[in-house]
Amino acid sequence: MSMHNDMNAPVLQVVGLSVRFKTPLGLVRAAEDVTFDIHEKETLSLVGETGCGKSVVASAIMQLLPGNAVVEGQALFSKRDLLKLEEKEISRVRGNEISIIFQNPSLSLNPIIEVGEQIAEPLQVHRGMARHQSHQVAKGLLSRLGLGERSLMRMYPFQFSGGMNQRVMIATSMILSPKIIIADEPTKGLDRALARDVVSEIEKILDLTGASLLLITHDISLAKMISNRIAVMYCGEIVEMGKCKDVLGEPLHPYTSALLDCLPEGGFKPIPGASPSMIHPPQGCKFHPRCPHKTQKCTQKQRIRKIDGDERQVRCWLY
Amino acid sequence: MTLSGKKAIRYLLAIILIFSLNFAIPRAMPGDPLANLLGEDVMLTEESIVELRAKMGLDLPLHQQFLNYWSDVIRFDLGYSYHLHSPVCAIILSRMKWTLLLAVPSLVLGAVLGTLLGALAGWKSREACQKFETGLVLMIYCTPPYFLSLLSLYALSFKLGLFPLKGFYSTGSALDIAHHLLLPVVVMTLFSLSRNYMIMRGSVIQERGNLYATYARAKGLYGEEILFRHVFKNAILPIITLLALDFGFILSGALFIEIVFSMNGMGNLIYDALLSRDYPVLQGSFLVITIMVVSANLLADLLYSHIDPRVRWQ
Repeated sequence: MSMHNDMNAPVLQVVGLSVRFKTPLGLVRAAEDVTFDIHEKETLSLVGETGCGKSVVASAIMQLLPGNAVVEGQALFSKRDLLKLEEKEISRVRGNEISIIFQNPSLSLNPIIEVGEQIAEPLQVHRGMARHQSHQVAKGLLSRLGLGERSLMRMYPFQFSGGMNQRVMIATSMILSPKIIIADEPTKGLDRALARDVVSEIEKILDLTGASLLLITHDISLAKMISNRIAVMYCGEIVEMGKCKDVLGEPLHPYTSALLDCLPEGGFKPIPGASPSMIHPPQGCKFHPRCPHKTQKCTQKQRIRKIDGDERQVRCWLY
Repeated sequence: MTLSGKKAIRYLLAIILIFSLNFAIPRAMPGDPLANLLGEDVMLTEESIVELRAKMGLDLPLHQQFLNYWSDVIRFDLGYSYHLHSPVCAIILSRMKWTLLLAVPSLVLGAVLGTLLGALAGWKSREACQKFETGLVLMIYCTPPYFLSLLSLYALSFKLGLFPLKGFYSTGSALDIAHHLLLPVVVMTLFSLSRNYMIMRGSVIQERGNLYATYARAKGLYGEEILFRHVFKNAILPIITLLALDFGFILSGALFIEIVFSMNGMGNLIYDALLSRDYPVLQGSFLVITIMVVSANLLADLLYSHIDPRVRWQ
């Protein structure tokens, strides 16, 4: 993976994105003031525990959230704000310029349509390609991903394993060579070896298409393998962002350090306390009730700040 | 052996079993099998009873009777109705074609329109005009068939004189028959439509919440494209079962319509036979209904596995 990303222009700029869900229990603040850029041919990982709002960010960019979601902020792509587009306009972006890989491949694929047709579908929908021709393209693509057997095209998702279905989704996501691919927990539920296969497939398609990747994952070792930059999310907020090796090598935010300490390499040390409620989050820094370095100041809101240059950002009163 | 071959054999066995029951019931019923086979209201002299018993082979041993029964069935000899003074097979055939003329267009139209409108209603269930449409269909769904038939007969035929009051035909020309059939076909279509509509609507509402529908949207499909490319095929599966039931029970389904519109179809035939205890006609109709129900089920089974590969591969 190239490391010359500093010079590339941003393809997607997410500015001040916040997502709230209206529920009978109250307003759920799933994402607050999320700001990041994705540059050309770059891989940015959004990491954090389950339920920290990573997937919500991905779905919000694609306008795929359910009706009870209130979305604010901007997602600038090709001089347009994706969050303000009409359904008709965003549908031309989806799958075409930005595509998404869901975390549950076996449920995301239509159970009664042949996988070949499902891979070829974006060609028919976005390019108006004839069915036969689109299947030819899909077949070519599958063989480049090492699934070249003719019969696979005519199979159904229930005949495939989760890993194979994930590959079907990956093939579908890249068939139109989008500028950005969003992968939402692409390795969830897969064992180590399969996860590694999926990762190498994703890397292969990034090379083939030259797309940028927004990787959403709770798996830090996966993020470490393929990302250029990494953003750590906690309770709907990005608490730290920077080059992958900087953030994981010298974490600044206490939450990032605590998260790394949970890993086998970090000694399996759990974070004290429980994840906060997203309906009534703690005042100020959301991590302060669990933070070993907390001070009086931490109950006040801290904006995310740039540290030494543009690359490194952190949301903590210590810096 | 292929799966559809296995299925066909299973259905064939069902038919043989039901036909054998049809042989056993009149002979196992209390009383004279002759009365059970001819109908209770048939008056006979002693001599003709002996003569008929010999003619119908009721004095033969049971296994001989069983073989005779099957050779009759295979030759479409379903017995003789002493009420209508005609062979049962001929009666059924002449009545059947009229019922089919009434029921088949109604069920086909009801299936196609009900499924399409129901799918759209389920897809846009939050829109006001769809809610209104659903309310209207729900009203038809809840009205008893005979009541709507009576109402339309009273208003359109009796008061306004737009349609004939009764029967399948008066002069017998194609136009005349169509004129007679129009109102009953419309009423029956409305019923079939309302049933299919409600099921399809519910099915689409359930299916559109699945992840594959969201993923179709994420791939760039827009609006009804998602419905017709992805959701429809999944949602139509319960309708196929319903259609099999509808087609299987064509004859009884048309009963109320036939009675209200005084049409001499199968429904009325069975109804009259019940009232006059004309057992040969009832048994003949029973066999015909059996064949229709079983073959409709077989068709649904095959159609189901054609649409849903998960059924095919198990």
